[in-house]
Amino acid sequence: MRPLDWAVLAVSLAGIVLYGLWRGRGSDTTQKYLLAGKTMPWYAMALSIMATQASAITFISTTGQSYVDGMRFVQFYFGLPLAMIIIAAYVAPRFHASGVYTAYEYLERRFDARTRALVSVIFLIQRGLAVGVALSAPALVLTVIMGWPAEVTTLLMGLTVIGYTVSGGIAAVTWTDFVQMLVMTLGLVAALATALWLSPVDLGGALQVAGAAGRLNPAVWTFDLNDRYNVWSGVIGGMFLALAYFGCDQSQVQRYLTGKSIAQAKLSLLFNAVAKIPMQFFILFIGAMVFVFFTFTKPPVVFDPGVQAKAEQAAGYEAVEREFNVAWTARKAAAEALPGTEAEFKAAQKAMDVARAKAATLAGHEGFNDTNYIFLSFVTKYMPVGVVGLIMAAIFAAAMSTISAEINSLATVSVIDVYRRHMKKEADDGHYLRASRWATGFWGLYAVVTAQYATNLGSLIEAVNMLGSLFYGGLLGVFGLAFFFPRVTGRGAFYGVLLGEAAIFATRFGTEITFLWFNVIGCVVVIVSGVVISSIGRRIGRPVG
Amino acid sequence: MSEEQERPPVFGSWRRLYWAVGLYLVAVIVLFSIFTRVFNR
Repeated sequence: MRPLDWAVLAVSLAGIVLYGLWRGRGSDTTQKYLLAGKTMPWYAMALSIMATQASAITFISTTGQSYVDGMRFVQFYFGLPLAMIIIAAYVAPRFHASGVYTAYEYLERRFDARTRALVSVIFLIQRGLAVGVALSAPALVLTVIMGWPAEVTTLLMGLTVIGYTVSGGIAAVTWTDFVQMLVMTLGLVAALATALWLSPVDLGGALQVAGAAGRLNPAVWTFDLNDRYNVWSGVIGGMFLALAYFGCDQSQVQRYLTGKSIAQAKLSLLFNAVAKIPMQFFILFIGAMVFVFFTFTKPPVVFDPGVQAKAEQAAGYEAVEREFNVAWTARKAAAEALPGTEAEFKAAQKAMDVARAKAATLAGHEGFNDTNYIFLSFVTKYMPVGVVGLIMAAIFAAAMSTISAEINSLATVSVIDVYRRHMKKEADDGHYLRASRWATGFWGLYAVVTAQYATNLGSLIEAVNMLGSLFYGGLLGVFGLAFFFPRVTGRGAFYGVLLGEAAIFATRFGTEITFLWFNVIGCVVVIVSGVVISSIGRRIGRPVG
Repeated sequence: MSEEQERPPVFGSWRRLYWAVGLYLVAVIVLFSIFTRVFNR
């Protein structure tokens, strides 16, 4: 990074933090701190929802995923619009009308205290695990760029976010999300424009090369339960995951609970229903264009600089590098001669992949995954001055928006569902406000500590989604019972969740079924067992709930 | 007019807006399928 890049990054981040502090002033009651006094307009909530979901992982990992696997990951979002319609029509109005702080508070009103407690704990575990992953992604960026230790990066990043989140609560989080989303959009446009500008072929030629490599596949209709990304798993599995994430996860529910009306909350959700797929398509398309760029400019054998350095030290690396270079030259020649040379192009691509795997094996990283390093490698080595700073700012903005929302929601659940409900029931509002600030600080520090362990999880975005899928099915099932099965009792809901989670873990560790289906399986098991247990309870005439 | 009955700024009613979003999804999947068929080899 050159001085102009540093200036762009510093001004962007300082501006975001100062704006957050300014917007968060006056959060002097628990309701203002945790729900922004229910004053948010739809566009602020809409961009906040989008920014919360689009983490640094989205930039770093999704582009790399498109580079190695094509654009089929976009299908993961096909179920999102359907989920948003259901949430806007049935979920958001009920949460709003009931005046709750958290989604889990609603469960006690519908079922009982232990169901609320169980689901709150599931959320705290699941979101608590994910927050470290979200924070580790930008640490990865700085480790690659400047060689800073990841510990220092996560600490600096975490403390910045903790600063404005503790100070201004959700108002600060939402409005910084709003600005962060704008910075991210600018960064994305700059990345795509630069990737296209640097490629020696025009857009038509770029599409031809990416297509020949099988990278332009945003719709795959083959049905396969073991395949993560196709239209079917996207629409069905993606809908269940989006229902769970946007309808039951406090980090998202809290965004639209801040709305000044139900209509404003609904609009914020429907905006995401329309905007999310094009945004993901855009990000994946950037990855495909980076692939095109590296078709004509020789890439490193392995993008992960650590693995590459180790491989270079190993005996036999020269032969592997020669193999790689021959394959890359053949692929370039085939690309220049397209159309009609698709078979040669694919054969050369396969030879490159084999050489890359050999290099990683030499470095002692068999079965390696350098997805997270591809986009960063491109940005830092080839992007013009100023644009690098803007993209770094976008990556940081993405990370900060996700982390702030997560620690804010973790603090809210800790205070409202655990502390106020079970530990200190009668205290004044100032006490809970102070408790909320302390809890926010605690979860921020917790995120910094757990981030140290999150950098070795392979493709980070998949790790986060995988973690979510272990718990989301249970959450979704219990909210499904709450909203659509009026005769189900607290006992049915409680044991239904436990059985649903057992089914998900059995599927995860006992079958090859891909994680997108865990939500479907967990949700169905919770609902069926919840209904059956409630029905049995009524038949044997015992008091239930 | 209650909050629940507040109309959306487009399409006149929430029900019609939901249908519009659903049709939008169908259109996106169709467009992506065409994109895949045309460009992906």
